[in-house]
Amino acid sequence: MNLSINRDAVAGVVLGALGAFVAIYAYLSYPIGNMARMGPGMFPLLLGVTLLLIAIAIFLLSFLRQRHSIEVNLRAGGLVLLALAIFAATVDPFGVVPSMMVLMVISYFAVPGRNILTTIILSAAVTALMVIIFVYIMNLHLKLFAWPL
Amino acid sequence: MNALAELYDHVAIGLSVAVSPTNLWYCLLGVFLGQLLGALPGIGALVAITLLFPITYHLEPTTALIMLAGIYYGSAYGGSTASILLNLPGTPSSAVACLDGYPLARQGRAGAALSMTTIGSFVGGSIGIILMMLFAPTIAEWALEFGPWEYVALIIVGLVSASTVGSESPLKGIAMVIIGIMVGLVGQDIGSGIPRFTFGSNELLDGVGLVAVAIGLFGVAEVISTLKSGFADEVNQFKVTLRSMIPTRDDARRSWKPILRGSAVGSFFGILPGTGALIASFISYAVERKLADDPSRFGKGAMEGLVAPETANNAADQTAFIPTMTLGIPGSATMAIMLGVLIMNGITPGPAVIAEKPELFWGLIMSFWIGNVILVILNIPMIGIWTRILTVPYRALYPFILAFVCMGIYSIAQSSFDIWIVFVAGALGYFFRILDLPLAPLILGVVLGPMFEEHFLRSQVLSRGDFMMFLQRPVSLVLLLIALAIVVTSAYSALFPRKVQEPVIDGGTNA
Repeated sequence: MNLSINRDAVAGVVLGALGAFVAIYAYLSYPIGNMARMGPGMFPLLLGVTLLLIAIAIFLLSFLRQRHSIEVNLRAGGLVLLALAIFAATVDPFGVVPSMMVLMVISYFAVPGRNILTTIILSAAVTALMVIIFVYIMNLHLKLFAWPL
Repeated sequence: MNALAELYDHVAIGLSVAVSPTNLWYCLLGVFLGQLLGALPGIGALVAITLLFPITYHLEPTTALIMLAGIYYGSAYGGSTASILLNLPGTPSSAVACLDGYPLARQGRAGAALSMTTIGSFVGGSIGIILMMLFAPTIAEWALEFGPWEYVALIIVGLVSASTVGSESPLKGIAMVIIGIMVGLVGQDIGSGIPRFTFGSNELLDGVGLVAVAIGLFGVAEVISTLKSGFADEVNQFKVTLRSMIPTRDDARRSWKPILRGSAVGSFFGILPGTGALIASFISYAVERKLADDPSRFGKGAMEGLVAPETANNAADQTAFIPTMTLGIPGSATMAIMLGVLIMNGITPGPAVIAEKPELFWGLIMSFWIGNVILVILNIPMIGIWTRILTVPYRALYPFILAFVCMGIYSIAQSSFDIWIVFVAGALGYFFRILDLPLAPLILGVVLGPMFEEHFLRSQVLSRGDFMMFLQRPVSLVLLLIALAIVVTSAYSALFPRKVQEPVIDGGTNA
């Protein structure tokens, strides 16, 4: 997917928002102190302000230079992150083997042109390999199967 | 004489550590995995180290460092294999090897090209190790007298050069370093005990783990963006027989001087923070082209143009350990992760490490020798295996990476919270990559941020809030001037770019 938005301008806005947030949050939540006796809020405040200034420079410079549009691989990004989230949510209640299987099947489909049957076979093979490496070779006590009841 | 006896003692300590069965095995495993992952296109030293980092979590710090270091310099050997045979750099610092390596392979000289780069890599690596043995202890002794001002200045030089040198947008690099430092802020403040940026979460009190962030950035975000660029599935195969690997007399005559020059260039740029193997290889190529009798041969299969940069990147990989081990200041993201191993094991990185933990420092150095010898053996008689491994396409490979990411991080503490941090780091990392923001400086910020804050606070307490102390102490003044010079030159070259004459390199990770 291609978005024809000025990429560096977006970067400037995002970084600026982050810098402003950190600076304001630090200023409101933590003691600032002075330069000789800096409180826990001073360093984050200085960092936030510096980031904000750099972000403003990036934003302004983006209009002077050649523009780049934004390229996003929604399929790869979405499926890989979805697979990761499901693994994180299921590994404690269900154990390593089922959650690793789901992780593998979904992430195989991050590139187009996969066959379901081969994907399942390959996923099972990778899962078995991981169990061999981490549980049998490295001798870690991981829960392989579990049932949340 | 005295110094010689001392060196002899150190070598003896180091050898006794390095040849213990455990360390020998992990050294072998490390260089083997480094060679393997380095040879696979799309996986550089940085990704290789982050992926295998969790495996070293349960090891002794010396053993863990020996293995991670093996992966690091092993990937430099493996990287050139892919460049020569596929015209695709296995690691970014091997990109230059494509220029003359691939034409050599097309002329049927792949074997000689591979063996000459192996020899060059070995010589470059050896010279780098010798320099480290000779100078690291002296540098560390000198650095023991540094106060917080010098450290603040050193860290600034490290962060500034790592985020700006060779980058097309120095501002973006510095912005990412700051974000990294902000990530390092999360958790209990050492000075006051107040939890910062934890938003009420108990799990965040100990801070965001370096491992989880690194894995999210390089194991997840990089995977997603590499899937976009799509590596070619069809692969040109060149036959490499052992007989074809014997270099001709002409190869040797042409190469010995470039090998020595490459070692010098590489050693120099390896020590400088922020430059490292990638830049060393480019500069070494440029030097050879300038010195050549017939520069027109370059790009068409000149042995000098292949051997010199490959020597340089190995020398740089070794000397990059000098600032990391003697000052505790890493010059690149990869070195930052090495330093993370020390920190996680409760060892404060800095000049005291060599004196207080000689078995760690000298054991690591002696393992470099062992690892480099193993790599020569892996590369010359066993080259057939690597040429076959190259044919594995990235689309078959990335699920293994993700499986390793999840198992690795879960194996550390059996905590799904860590996986969520990987998830967040991966998602944000991909978002940053979409916006063309580099990820490597971020990890440097995560490691150096807490050290920076600590030294900065201490310097301000000692000088009662007077900034002038930074300029009154000669070492910190010189360092800050260097940092300023780096900022000015990179801002200048970013605002007024020269006409591009250097080869374009692919791959976002900066080893």
